[in-house]
Amino acid sequence: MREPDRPRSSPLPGAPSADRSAYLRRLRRDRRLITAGRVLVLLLFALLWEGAAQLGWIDGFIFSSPSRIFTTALELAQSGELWLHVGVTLYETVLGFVIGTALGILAAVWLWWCPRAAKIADPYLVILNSLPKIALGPVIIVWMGTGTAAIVTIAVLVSVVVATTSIATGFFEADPQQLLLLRSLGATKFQQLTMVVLPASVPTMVSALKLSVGMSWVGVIVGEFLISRAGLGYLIVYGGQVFKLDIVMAGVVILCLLSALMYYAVVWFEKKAGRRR
Amino acid sequence: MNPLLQLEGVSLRYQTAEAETVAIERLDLSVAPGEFVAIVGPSGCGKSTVLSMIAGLLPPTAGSITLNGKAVDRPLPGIGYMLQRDYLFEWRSIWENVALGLDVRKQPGGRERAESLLKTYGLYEFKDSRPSELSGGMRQRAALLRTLAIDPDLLLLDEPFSALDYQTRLTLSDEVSAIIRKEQKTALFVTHDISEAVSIADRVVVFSARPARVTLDLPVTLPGSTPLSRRSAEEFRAYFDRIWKELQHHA
Repeated sequence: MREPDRPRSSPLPGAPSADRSAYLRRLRRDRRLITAGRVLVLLLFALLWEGAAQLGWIDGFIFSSPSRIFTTALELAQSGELWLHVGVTLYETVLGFVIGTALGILAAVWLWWCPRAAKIADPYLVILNSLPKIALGPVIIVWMGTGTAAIVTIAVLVSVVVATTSIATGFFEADPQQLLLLRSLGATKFQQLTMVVLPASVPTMVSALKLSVGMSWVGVIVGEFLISRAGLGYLIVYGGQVFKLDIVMAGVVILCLLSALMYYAVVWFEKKAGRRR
Repeated sequence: MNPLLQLEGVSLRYQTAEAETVAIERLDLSVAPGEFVAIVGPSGCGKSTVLSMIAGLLPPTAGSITLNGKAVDRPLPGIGYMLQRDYLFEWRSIWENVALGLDVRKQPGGRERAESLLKTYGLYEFKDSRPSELSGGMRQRAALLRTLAIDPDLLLLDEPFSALDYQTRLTLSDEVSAIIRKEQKTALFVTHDISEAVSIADRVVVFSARPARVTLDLPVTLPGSTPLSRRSAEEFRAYFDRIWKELQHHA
């Protein structure tokens, strides 16, 4: 990468010119329009759904409606049932995510440390990556029993392979010349890991985190589908079984909100890590 | 005077699945303390490979390399290696980059030295900056200070200006030569640029095409204290032509 002497951006002294103010105004207007557009899409969708249910175009009993979902969610919240399910699912997801990512990082370090091991593991990782890990759900339940442990294990199983392969790819992409530089200074393998490989892979690790967040949700919900004791997955399956589709829809909407929340937590972490770099 | 660096009968054979390549064949070279030696040669002749071997990163398949009479069998503390590009770490500030070697070697004693280097060579006000905030020339200067911070006896410079534009290149070669002479270091400098070699070095060694051998060992004495002023010396042309002919002859 050739680095030219770049001109430093220097704000002109004095008041901003008319051109600049106009540009800033356009920029702000553009941002407002995009935000408004996003809200509008959601509102239109909800309005259309609600209208269709009210006017009898669709059967509200089967298709539910925003107002029915809202009332159901409110009832569940008031009875305290909702918080139990949200708490259980959140707990399992965070646990599955943390364990899956930690194992992924450890496995990636191991693969980086012994390139021969990486070569041996490669075909197996490829197969494991394409295998729907959820298929192992029933086996996990037999092994671990019908409790939190089995659900978290499924979540870990679903997220760990993607985490491992994507983090290891990042590790192997560390600049060989930077490593050469360290070795010329007499660095040990451990120093190469901590001083170049890990800091250089922060961006790949963050995108791996984003992937594993989603994967953990999939694992937990499927685990709850299979085990059916508590949690949003249980709530959704229960709603389906007693044919209360309002409960199913309320469960899905809350799931949406929670997973978005967790995703943005990772984005926030990414921004923080980015500032430090 | 005993040589600081001595290569005797150094050979290197590369093995790949396809073939065996003789990269370097029975190479002899010695560098006296305080000398500034430039190696020029056709591209791909193994100039950089020789530096890697002296840096202790690549063991020769035959022959011996010694620094101060000590065999180079691993990266020795007495050798500082400067690569073609700066390879500054974006996750470290300029100060932390310059102190990299001290961190690796766990030499907290070198901090003061590193700090005075930053002050002397005009990077102190940028010590908390990120590498991306510096210009190409300043980055390469920071890379040189990183190499000097570990106080090496011998500096290995592998085409350190090749990634820079021409003007920066001329300025920086003046600066680097001044810094190296002021710090009284011995330097071995690899380049494919004949003018650069003649202007900066006390001695120019010409390598043949692969397998690399020394075909010319030419001491250079030019009036002028900086590479730029030496370029305008009358004798400059003669040195240039002598090396040019040697390279043509073996091409």
